[in-house]
Amino acid sequence: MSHVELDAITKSFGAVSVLPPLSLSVGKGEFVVLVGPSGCGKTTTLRILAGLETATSGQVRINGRDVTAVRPGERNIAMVFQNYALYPHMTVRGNIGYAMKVHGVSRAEIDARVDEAAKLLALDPYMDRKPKNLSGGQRQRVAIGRALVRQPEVFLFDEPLSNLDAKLRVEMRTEIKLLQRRLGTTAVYVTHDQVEAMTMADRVVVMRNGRIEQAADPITLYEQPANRFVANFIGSPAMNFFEVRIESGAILLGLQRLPLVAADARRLSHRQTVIFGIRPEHMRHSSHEARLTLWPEAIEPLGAHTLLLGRADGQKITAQVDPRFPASVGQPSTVTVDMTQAHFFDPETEARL
Amino acid sequence: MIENPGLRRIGLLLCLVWLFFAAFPLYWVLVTAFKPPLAVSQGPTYIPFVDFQPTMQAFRDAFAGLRGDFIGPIVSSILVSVTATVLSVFLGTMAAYALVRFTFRIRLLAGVAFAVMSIGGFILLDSLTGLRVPHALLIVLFTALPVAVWLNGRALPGPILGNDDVTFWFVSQRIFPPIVSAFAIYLLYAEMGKIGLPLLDTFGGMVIVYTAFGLPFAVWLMRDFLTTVPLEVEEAAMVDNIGRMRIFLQIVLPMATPGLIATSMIVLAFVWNEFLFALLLTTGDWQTLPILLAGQNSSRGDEWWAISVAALISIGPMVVVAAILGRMMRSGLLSGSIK
Amino acid sequence: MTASAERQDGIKHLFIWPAFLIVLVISLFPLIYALTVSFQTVRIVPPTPPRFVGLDNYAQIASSARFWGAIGTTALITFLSVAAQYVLGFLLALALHHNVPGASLYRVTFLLPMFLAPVGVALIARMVFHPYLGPVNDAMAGLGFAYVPFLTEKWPAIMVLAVIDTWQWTPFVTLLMLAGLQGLPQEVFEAARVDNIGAWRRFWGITFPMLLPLSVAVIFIRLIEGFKIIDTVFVLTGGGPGTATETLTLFAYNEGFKKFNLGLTSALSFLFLIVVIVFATVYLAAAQRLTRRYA
Ligand SMILES: Nc1ncnc2c1ncn2[C@@H]1O[C@H](COP(=O)(O)OP(=O)(O)OP(=O)(O)O)[C@@H](O)[C@H]1O
Ligand SMILES: [Mg+2]
Repeated sequence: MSHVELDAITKSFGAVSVLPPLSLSVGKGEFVVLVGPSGCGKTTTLRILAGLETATSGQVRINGRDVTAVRPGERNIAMVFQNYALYPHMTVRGNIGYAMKVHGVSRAEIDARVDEAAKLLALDPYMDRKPKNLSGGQRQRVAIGRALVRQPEVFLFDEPLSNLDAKLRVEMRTEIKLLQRRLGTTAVYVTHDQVEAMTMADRVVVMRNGRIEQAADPITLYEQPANRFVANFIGSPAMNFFEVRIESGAILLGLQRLPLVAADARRLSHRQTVIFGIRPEHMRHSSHEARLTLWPEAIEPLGAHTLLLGRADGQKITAQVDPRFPASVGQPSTVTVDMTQAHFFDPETEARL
Repeated sequence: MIENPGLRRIGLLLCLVWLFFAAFPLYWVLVTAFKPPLAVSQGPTYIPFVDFQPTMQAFRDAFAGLRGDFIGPIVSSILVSVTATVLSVFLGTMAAYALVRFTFRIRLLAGVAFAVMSIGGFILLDSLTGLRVPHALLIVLFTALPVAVWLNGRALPGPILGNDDVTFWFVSQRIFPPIVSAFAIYLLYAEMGKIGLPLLDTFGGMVIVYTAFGLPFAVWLMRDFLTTVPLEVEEAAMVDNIGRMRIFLQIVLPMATPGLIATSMIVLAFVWNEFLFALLLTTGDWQTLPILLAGQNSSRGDEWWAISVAALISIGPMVVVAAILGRMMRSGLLSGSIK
Repeated sequence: MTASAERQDGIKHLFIWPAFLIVLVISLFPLIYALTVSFQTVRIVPPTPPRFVGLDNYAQIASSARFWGAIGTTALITFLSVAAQYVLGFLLALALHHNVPGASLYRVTFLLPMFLAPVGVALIARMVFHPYLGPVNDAMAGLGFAYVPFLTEKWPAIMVLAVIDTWQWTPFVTLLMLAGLQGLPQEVFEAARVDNIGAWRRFWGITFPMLLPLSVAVIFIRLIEGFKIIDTVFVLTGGGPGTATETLTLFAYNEGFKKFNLGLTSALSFLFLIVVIVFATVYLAAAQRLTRRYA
């Protein structure tokens, strides 16, 4: 059942069109992450959902109700901002309880709900501090607490973790995810960090220039990216791409010949050229492997594995190999490519083949 | 910061000379207030206990009312300036908030139409009918303004003015020499008195004038302070279904407190010290301190101990104002407000 | 903008209209009224019914030597004092900006004068400049000079008025220029220091041009405010001797409140307004050319 629905939303700032018609529906209790490069319209989409921005055309529905013209406050949503947006002159307790106080909730109930949120977020020791006396992670928890106590239909998050340091970010993303699962509240979460997207989401929505490139669960996104952009965006280090020719069941990368898996060979037989994509981590032994020689320009040992950064047929390539893989800069080095994990894209449309 | 010791020394010298120049008159008025009459009339004396024996007599005389009513002007000065400051800072902050957070579009043609209608309309009413001036002005206002607002909604040709122009309109009120409107306000108030609404020499009349007088400052300064209030916090409140008015009162105002204090201090100083309107619009009950001071001059002759007491009373609150602003200046708070 | 956004924005009118109406009613309607009156003869004492006289009032004022004298006096006091204020104020701001020892000591003293009632300042000046009982003449006598009748002769009185204005308003210039200095990007100066550019060149090459727009604004404000001068003159000389130190506002006040000739006074204030507007336009045009040359 779709809980939150964006129906052919467009948005222009003056003459600049930021969102072409964009449609998205989010199921009840689902955790959807919007991800994409900077400036692609994630925040704008979220703000339209929140009602902080008015769509130029199209409809926003929450729980089946058309809320396109409804004020943010009456949409029964709660939002967590990137810069926390706490009320600086109120204590933690005041921040969390403020909206309830304004809406005439009884003292006892406010206290009960604030304390409950505080316990959940481990904020008890800080309840009487002002935001300026809190650390970044604590502030973010207060902001989440403030959203929590309103018991909204939908949580909206706009890059809530981007101001935190790496370690805290990892902790907080687990916390948020667990919390959302426990409450079963629908959530829309914006980030430009693909790891965050993959780890938190039930469904990831990859955006580019205001368009949805693909919306799918993380594993599908990884295994079957809809196009070259998504393939490039998801996964780290990023996928390698080569424009290659197809000849008698194999691809030709310069002078090197990599035989295709039978199914792929059949599928691509009528084509002359394709874009061949292979993830660095898929350069390993498998049931169907091909040998590829590359010229390393840098070798990065990361412990668990080593990255070879180099060129094959004059094009950049990254390969992830075993730690003790014999390779040295300037000497040609041959790796095995797992052709069962190869991806192919149309050179014109860049769509998945 | 400067590395050149010669320049540093020149700077220090300049500061010391200015310090003397700035402080000496203040020192003079302070010690004169404690001088006995003889220490004044026999030529200048400088140092208390050395040149003369300080006495509190002048203060006692002043507050005993021996030399005219002191308490009255003090009270009216306080009441009028505090009320007008609070009003103009509050209303000015509201206007500044609107100018920072919303967009206004005013068609130049509608503005011109308003000016033509109100000037022409008033001249017509004034010369053709026997209407009293306030009535005529009110009629003009209540017809020209709605018509102009209506016109503004039409698709008129011509330039469209934005928020900056509105701000400029507020600030430009300070360019007019006050004497231009001072007499007109005097006449207007006199006319209002004739139709049963006394404004001359009343609390209300003074507060209205001074509120208008302080508004340009308040709008201008508060606009700068309010642009530094982060928008996200307000949006968080909007998402939490807090009304605009409440956001303004309970979230924006507390966040802009330093700006409010600085602006209030500046407006307060201007109102507290204002002379021309007080001179024209008050005659007795609501005379303010500057009028009392100016009066000291003619009525006291060379009784400087008494004059000094009066001057000190007017200076006192302003020392506090200057001290507060001085502290804010040190914290760099004012550097944002000059763009 | 869509209809719903307009509707949500409706509250902006509630925010702006109170301030707008008050300023409109108190500043603009009197202006309209005064404009009307300036084309009439209106006398309160003795009361005469208003009569339309066209531009007679304007012609009468424009041909009066007293009006031109008042313009001259006002302009002289204003220019003298604003020039002094700007130079001194800027120098002091530079000194304070470069953390001259004891800066916190001066701060309040430096600020205080601009917050004092000009009337009170004039009273203090009256004591200080008193021919026999004041410390200034006492000091001059100590140095072997003759007594100067500061307040009863034209030129000394004008100088005293300019000095008072400088005393009172230099802090304003200091305050704003200091804020401007603190807002300048520090890197530029560090780069200049690294390039071994001397303090003098640094000032004229970097600081001054960068603060030129602010300087233009500060001087503009001070000139506009300076033209309104009445309080100090009213107390110190009353415009005397004769009308030798009469400023425009004081002239208008005397005309209006002593003779109650309101048509004439209104015409006078409008001429005053025209003088200010012409002057402001010329100043801003000149300033713009200057700024462009430096930019
Ligand atoms: N108020 C505005 N006026 C004009 N253009 C805007 C406005 N707000 C956003 N934009 C433009 O809309 C586009 C999308 O912006 P948006 O903030 O949604 O990006 P984003 O995906 O959230 O990026 P980031 O990851 O950097 O936060 C950008 O190109 C931006 O320049
Ligand atoms: Mg964003």
